[in-house]
Amino acid sequence: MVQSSVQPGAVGGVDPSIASAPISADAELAYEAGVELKARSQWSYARIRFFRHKAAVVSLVILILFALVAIFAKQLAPYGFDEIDLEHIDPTTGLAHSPTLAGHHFLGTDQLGRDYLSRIIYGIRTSLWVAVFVALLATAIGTAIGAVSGFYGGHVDNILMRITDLFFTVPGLAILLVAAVYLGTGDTDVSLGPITIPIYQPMKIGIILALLFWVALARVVRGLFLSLREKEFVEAAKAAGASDLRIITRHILPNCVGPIVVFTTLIVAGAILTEAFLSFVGYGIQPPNAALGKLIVDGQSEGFTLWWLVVFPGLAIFLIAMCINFVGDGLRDALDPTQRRSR
Amino acid sequence: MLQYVLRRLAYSVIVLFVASFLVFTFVAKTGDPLAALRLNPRISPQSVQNIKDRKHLDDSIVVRYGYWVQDAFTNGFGTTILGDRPILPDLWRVMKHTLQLVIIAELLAILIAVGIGVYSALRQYSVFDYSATTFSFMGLALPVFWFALMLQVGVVYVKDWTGYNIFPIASLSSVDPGTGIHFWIDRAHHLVLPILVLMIASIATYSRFMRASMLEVVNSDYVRTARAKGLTEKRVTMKHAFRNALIPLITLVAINFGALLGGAIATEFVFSLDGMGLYYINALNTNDPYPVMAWLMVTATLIILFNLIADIAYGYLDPRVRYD
Repeated sequence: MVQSSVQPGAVGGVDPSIASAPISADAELAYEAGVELKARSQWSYARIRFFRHKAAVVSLVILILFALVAIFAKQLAPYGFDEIDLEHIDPTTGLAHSPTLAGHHFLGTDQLGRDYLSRIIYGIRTSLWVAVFVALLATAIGTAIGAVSGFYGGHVDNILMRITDLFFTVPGLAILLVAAVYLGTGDTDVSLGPITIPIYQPMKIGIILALLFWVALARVVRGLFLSLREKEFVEAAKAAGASDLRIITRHILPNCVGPIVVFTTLIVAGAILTEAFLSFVGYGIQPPNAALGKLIVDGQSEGFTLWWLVVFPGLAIFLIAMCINFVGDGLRDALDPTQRRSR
Repeated sequence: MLQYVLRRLAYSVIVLFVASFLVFTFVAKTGDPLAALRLNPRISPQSVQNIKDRKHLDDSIVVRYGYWVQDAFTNGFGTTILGDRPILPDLWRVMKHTLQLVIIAELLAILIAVGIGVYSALRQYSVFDYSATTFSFMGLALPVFWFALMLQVGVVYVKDWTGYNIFPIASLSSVDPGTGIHFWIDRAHHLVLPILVLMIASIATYSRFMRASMLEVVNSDYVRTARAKGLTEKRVTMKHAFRNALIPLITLVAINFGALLGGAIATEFVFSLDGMGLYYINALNTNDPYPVMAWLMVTATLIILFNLIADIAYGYLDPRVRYD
């Protein structure tokens, strides 16, 4: 019993020379109490905390798989997105075939005889891309505005709070639909003087979604800045002659990284779900771009007899969103120990 | 208190005006509401022009907005561009339907979520607690419209196997619903699936919140005092802890009301229920600003009222909270 409990590195690399026999329990306690047994950075603590959250680790692995599928869609998809398979389909029994483990179409084919697995893979590619784009853009905008608003107060703060009021007054989804109808269809070229930037339609949907999602993050960052700007280390930096920009970016912002990262994961999940709904209603991503929500609405047009056309794209959305939520939960435990759920 | 309420209302009115102008501009510039008429060879260009004149479609956006404000206050949000249909009666009808759906779903969700949340807090780390946590993560990741479709797929397949239609999968009433009690039984039968769909996300959110709130209260000083003076465990949890843990939920429910109306858009769209959500999507499809604006104004007013009631109730229930 004594021997088995000595496991250097098991609970975070305790030096075996210092360690006495029942070390793992002690090390655990010492670690919880904040006593350093070995010099470790904040990040390695965060990593340890994250890897303790089993559901988050499993979700992270699944998410990485999804991301790889999205990145290598062209190589992994057995058929093209719009490719009609005339070789393996028997047209006398209809073009839509149900999923089969034996044949060529693992997830079946749709009404036009297109391989559904390939279509879903391309759908995941677009949907994930849009969600990550939304998260990055919304985080950038939200952090910048929240930081300025919390640090300086005044007019910026006032305007921010009124915009938030707007989103608390009108359902965000309704505003989003209006914006999507107004801006959303077709590719556009935005010309800035001599340079012309092509904006593809999915990117447009991403921008519209980001305009909805930055608000809540800005509120969070503002709150953090409001409390942090009164702290002694900010005063010290000011006394040492640091500029406002330096105080914001080098002194306060690093202390907000945890909550911001956690919130960003929530935005990714929200963006995936919202984009799917927009595409489902017909105001989201337009063909020829693939999108999971669009696959669902096309699949249900036959009145549910082709169940796989509805089930699988939705399952992909559901899985991605759930894994992101779990990873977000793990990140909250890891990066934001004060906000830790009691579990 | 009164001052606080008045200031909140004043802010809301300003925000509403700005929002209404922006949305009006967006919708008015989106597309041509008369496109369908122009394509119809039996409608002369002159009658299209007549509609344009009557609805001031050739004026600038600011002037049109002015006409809209006038209509909104004096004429019950005016009439639609196509068909000249009065908006307010339609809106009342769909609002009645949506509120039936939303309020029943919400009350059931609160009851269930409070039960789940309190029980998981009292049996922290139990199997029940972990299952409830997993369930709520799943509920939050579930696309509302897809869940609705899955229920429909399930009903269709049950019908294929057994020949029996357990639930209607579309619309609010049968073709001939009857009157009185028969009408309401028929309505309830139609609303089972939509209510189930709307409940999932709410239960997921509220049960997590209730669990956290209950845990906080259970570990507080006054609960320890209650135990120390020898009260029974039942009395401590039900009278001292539970009642106080319930208070913060009020705010969450009120804030969530807007999201709920958003969720109703998806649910009503899938089940084709004649409610506000479907009305809104149809209004957007016609490119007509008037019904869209009327919808937004009514919804916003509802949300403002709910939030105000929640604030006042909170101040009443928790004397530590003071508004100023």
